[in-house]
Amino acid sequence: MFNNSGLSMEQAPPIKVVLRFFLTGSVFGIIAGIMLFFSNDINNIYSAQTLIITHTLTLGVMASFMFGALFQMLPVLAGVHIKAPVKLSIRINYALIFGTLFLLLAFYNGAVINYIFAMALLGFALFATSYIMVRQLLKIKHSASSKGMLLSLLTLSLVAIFGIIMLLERLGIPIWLNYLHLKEIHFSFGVFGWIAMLIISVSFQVIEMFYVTPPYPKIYAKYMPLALFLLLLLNILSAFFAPKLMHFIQTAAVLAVAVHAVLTLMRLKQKKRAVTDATILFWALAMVSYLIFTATCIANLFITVPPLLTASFFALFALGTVFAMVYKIVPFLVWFHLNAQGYFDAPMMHEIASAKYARINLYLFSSLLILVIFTSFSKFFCQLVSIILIISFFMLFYMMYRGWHKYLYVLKNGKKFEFNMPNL
Amino acid sequence: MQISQYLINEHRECDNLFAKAEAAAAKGDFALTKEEFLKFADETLLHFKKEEEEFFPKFEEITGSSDGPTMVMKYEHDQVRGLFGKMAQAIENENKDTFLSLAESLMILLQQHNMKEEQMLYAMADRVLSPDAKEELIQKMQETKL
Ligand SMILES: [Fe+2]
Ligand SMILES: [Fe+2]
Repeated sequence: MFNNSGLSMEQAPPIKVVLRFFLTGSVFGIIAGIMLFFSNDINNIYSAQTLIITHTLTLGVMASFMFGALFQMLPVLAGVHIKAPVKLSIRINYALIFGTLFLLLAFYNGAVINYIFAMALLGFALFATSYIMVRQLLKIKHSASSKGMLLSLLTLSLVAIFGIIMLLERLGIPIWLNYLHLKEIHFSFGVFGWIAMLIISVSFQVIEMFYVTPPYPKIYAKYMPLALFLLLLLNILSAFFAPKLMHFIQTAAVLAVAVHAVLTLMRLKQKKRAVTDATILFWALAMVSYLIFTATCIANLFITVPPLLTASFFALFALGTVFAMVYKIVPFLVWFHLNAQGYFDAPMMHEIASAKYARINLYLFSSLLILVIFTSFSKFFCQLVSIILIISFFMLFYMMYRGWHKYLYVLKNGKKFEFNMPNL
Repeated sequence: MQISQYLINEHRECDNLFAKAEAAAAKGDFALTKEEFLKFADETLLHFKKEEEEFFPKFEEITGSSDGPTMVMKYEHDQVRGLFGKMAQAIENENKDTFLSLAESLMILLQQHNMKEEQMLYAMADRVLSPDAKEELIQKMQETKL
């Protein structure tokens, strides 16, 4: 009966499945920082440099971290069964890495062969992930969180489809839609559909659980992902029939997610746990960044706001969430997997990421909230931001790398006890 | 009353007790930590006992299998029990960092465990059991003692 109802009690996938994606994501973060350091044309939203850096961040960094998180969370928290996760994760990971690199090269030199490889590899990575996860997600009984994940994965395939159509157009194959509208749709689906919706769904699941907060309002959690999804679909329709409306619809999407940021901050404030660790503050920083992003979008209706400024605050929202999740999940997973295998000397969470280490990374990251304000006006600040970004991602990378090494060390040298736990 | 209502209340009560123990440890007050931690551990162990002796057998009756989800749940209970032992030791040694770190792991472990119970096991029991069967089960759980 239990099986017929589509529920399963899957356990966590091997730790390397998740770490593979997370390590990749932080390396791309470092690469993005280096490119930002040498850039000189990112105030222009149509420049090749802007395209290259945004796609390094969205595909190389965000997609990697988000895939890693989904591989971990879907089985454990939503009861979704993913077959042969190790093999699958390797394929998707490599396709995503090389697809992203080919795309960046294509943006750089416009070579047809790079476009073709980028479309094939990214097409595989994004569609396969979306298809496999959506198919399994359709089988389970839904919570607000899993429904949101389902919708954000569906949006991901739409983002990819629109992206590929645009690449075809760049190759000289004519398309039926205004290129600029297409770009708007690709952008709004990526930003609000895939990234923001996934962050929303993840926070439904983890904010209450990690910090012991009141839950999100039930009705809100139930309808928010769907409402956002419908807004985005409406956006496509308006691109065809009433392009002037697109602006309003996108503003509505911005505001909808802003509601989530406010609700999240309220929940964090009401947490029952007394300890305020770095990850809570990373969440808070991310939500504050989103609210500043919202303010710049609203201001942009009346005055001209530098696009780099708006984009930077959205990036801080997305990246802040990544740091919040990774500093919590990775130390836990290292301990959890070793402990579950019966190793008595499994390193504890603070031995992987000490409170101090995470705090230093937090302070560095939070300085970005101020510094990015000046990047549109000054090359110096732009380089300062890029250096802090590089150090932040390096610290994240190093924490995971050390965790992985401790894991392997204990696997090899640790004492294994029979699973007969002492009672209190 | 619904099964989920009864058992979810206990989860929330354990969360509250946990938060108090953690707060005491964060302040470095080990006497208070010990007191609050024992309350939390007792409450949690009693809850586990109710599940293992009353709820899981009933659930296995419904699903006709004893090596499915309930086995995973019992295994996770054992992991939590193991952590309790280590946390008690950390209190004895007055080692704040170790205690807080173990508390963090415990919290994540327990929360994901509770979430699975709430979303899957309890929800299913509520759907399948008759009102009388529910009353009877809750009655038995109320009578369970450590
Ligand atoms: Fe339980
Ligand atoms: Fe329980």
